Amino acid sequence: MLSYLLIIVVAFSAVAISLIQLVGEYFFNQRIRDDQRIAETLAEQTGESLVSLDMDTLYTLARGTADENAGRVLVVDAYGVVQLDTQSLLTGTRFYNQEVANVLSGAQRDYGFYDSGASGNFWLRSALSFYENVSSMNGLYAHAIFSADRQVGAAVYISTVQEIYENLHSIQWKILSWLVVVALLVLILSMFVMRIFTRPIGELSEGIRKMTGGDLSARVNVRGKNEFSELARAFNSMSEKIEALDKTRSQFVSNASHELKTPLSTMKILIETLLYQDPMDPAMTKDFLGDVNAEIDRLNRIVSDLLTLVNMDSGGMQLNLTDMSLNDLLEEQVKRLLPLARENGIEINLTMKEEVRVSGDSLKLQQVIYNVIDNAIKYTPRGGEVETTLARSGRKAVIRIADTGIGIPAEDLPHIFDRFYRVDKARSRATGGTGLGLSIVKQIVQMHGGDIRASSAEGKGTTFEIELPVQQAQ
Amino acid sequence: MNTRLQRVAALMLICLLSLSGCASGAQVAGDEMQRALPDPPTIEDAQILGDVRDPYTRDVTLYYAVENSLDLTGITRAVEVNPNETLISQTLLELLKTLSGTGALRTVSSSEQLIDLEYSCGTVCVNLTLEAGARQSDQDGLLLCAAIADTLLGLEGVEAVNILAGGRSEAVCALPLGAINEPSDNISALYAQLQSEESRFLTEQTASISRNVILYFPSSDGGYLLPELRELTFDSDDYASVILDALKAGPMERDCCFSAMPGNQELLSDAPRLWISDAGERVIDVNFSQMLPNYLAFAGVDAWQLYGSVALSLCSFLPELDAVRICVDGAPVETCALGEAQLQFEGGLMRRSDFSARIGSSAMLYFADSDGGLRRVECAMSRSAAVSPKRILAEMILAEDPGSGLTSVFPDGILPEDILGVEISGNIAVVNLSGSFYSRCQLLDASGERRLIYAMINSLTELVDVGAVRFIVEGRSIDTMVQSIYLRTPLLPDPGIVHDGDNTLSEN
Repeated sequence: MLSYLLIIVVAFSAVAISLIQLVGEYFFNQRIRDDQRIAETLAEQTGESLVSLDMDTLYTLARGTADENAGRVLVVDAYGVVQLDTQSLLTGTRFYNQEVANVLSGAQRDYGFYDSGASGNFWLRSALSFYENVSSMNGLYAHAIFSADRQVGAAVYISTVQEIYENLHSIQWKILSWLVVVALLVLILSMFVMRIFTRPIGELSEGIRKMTGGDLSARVNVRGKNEFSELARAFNSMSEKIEALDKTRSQFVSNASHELKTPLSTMKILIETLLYQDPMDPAMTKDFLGDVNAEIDRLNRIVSDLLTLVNMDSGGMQLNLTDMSLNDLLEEQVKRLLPLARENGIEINLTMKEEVRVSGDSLKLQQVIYNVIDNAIKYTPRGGEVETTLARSGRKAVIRIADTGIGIPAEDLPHIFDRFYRVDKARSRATGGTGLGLSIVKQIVQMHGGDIRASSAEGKGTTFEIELPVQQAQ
Repeated sequence: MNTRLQRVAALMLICLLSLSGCASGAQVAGDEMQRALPDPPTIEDAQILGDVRDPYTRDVTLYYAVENSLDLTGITRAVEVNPNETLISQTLLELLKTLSGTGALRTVSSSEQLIDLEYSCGTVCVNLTLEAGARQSDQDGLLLCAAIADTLLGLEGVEAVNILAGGRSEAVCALPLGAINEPSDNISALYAQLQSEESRFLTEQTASISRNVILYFPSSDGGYLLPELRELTFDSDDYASVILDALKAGPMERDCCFSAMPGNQELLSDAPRLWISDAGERVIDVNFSQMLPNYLAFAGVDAWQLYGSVALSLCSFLPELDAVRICVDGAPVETCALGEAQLQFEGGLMRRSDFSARIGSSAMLYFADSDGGLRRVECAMSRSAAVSPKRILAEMILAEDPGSGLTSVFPDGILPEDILGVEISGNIAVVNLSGSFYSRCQLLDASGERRLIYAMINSLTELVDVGAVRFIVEGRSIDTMVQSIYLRTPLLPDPGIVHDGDNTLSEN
């Protein structure tokens, strides 16, 4: 801020000095021109009078000129002796003056400035310094006096330039005062403006600092509509996403830990029973070991699903795309699950209106269809129906799997694709689900450029719609 | 912005502020004088003693009427003026010679044409011989007077000219001509005007004429009678009464003079009476009452001052008046004291010539006032002294009481003898001062030195033929008398040092 202030002061000073110099030049040059005219006229008029020693005429001319122009007139002879001084102070003395000496040495005219108030004479030229105390600044113009082509002396016209000097001095002080005022205003304005600009940045910095410190709930206030507010909004949006992600991650870790711990706890109990209960019925032992084995399988599935998801998240999973028939795929999966459906007393139907081919990974899509129909069967009570249809809608293939099951509560519906999310945790675990199936399904569908949606009415059933892009040739 | 940039900006600011100390047109302070003043040429030593005037030649314009012409023609002649002569006298003689050549004057030598020439206080009284002044007609007389007046009025220092013939004023068109103070451009018109005035003035009761009259007043010191030009209006041919009233009123311009005429009207018994003596002379009687001696004694006026004032004033104006007879209580005054001498008036007839020797003049002397300047004081003195630079300086030294608040500019101990001499050459007066004078001036301060030098310069340059003054000491040029005033070149007068005032001083 100080730097900007300094630059402003420098610029202002440069302008002020230039202005003063311009004004000063104008006034002083104007005065010099006026004095030159007066001195020249006087020199022309006084030549004959000086030669003929006619003081009456000489004095009348000089007095008239001095009175008319409010100046002072000196007439010096060829040897620099003042023969006439309208103020009668230097009469009879030699006028030791640079300009007069120059003129009497052959120059036609000369001009200089003198502070006669300080020195009392016109011997040393004075600089128009604004730092010095000048009490009586005078301009002195000397012009040669000729008579019959012979130089007989010099006419000297002295005019006060003190008023010009003081005016310039006054202007300088005024400008200096203005400089101070403007500098102060600039300082205050800069502080105000900088506060406007730095405050959002400060808030952002504070928010970042909090987030760095682990406080992901940190947000910044959004004011107005400018770049800073846009930045604040972006920051808040990013923070929300990070916070959600962190929350999801925490939830995921918690769920995964919980899912992994459950079979381990079961196995520990079983194994401890086998270890510490002696003697153990062999059948029971076998039964226990079977349960342990089941838990190990479950753990294995969970780990496999997790590895699948991790593989998907990291981009490590590559689809093996082939031109395939969805009709065939659906028929195959329905046949695969038909025994399970019959076992649960559920009727399963497949309706395909037309042949639909897609470019997809056959194994992965089989997994998708299998998981969705399997879920429908598991959550549909005996006597229910699972209706699977394949249709084409524009450039999309639409697979609809509707059941007449227990349905999903509305509050749980948005989360059914989340990892380890269970609507009915006890029941789903009992059905052998890992809680990762729908997440994997959604990932696979999305990897194929498709989408999956679910709609449900509690107690009436659930419908999953899978959309996949059809082959371009179709 | 980094620190380096701040430093640069600060440096710029300092430079700008430094520059702001000087405005355009400023000169370099302490600028040494590159060139010296030229020195005047060396003047050889010159021991000047007394009053010395170098002969000189001056171009003057002489006016005369060519044959059968009614107007004047000017011709420029170089008039040579030798020491002990004046430009006025030489010009007049040259004019008379020219007039004789053109037939305007009778062919006689110049010396036979001129009786006397009185120059005093700017007035010139030319007294021609009767032979030279005789004219065939009024017009001839007017031409002669106009030629003389126009010629002399062209000279510096001449303000009025009064022309007499044989000591008498001549009438033109039966009327007094009076003193002439303006050149006559058109003589024919002037003559016609005089003729018109003659016819009206002599026939009409209400008519009046105005004329310039030279009145003579005694100087305050009692030594001289000084002229003063006055325009008077006459509404009858009783010119004498008007002139006596003017004398009674006293001088108006001449501060160093006073009126000798009694202010009490009763002292003047009768109106002046003009009569012709047995010898054929025109005489005017002026009768005072018997109280006149008492008045003169009371007023401290010498009788000769009153008689001279009346006789000179009347005889210089009234046409063809030969003398004035002053009576006291009816008895003519036949004698009066003038200092230790006795003036004798045969038959009581006081002629102009009886007092013309007492006509003095005045010089303007300068004295120091209390304000540090100079005051101009008119000082009555003899006509010869008034044109003598040495006498003028001596008068300044001798003045003991120059006036109220005034003092002499000379240091104590300086005597008239310290003015060794004054030489006038080419309008420049060179004053030779004594070594004693120089020594006694060394204690003067700058103001005293200035006043001393310029009192002398201003006084001397009042002389018509002095325009500047140079000072030398014991014949040698000096730089300064004390420290300030440069004396190696002639110095012109300084009007600026003079303060206004109305002081007067008369020669003791």
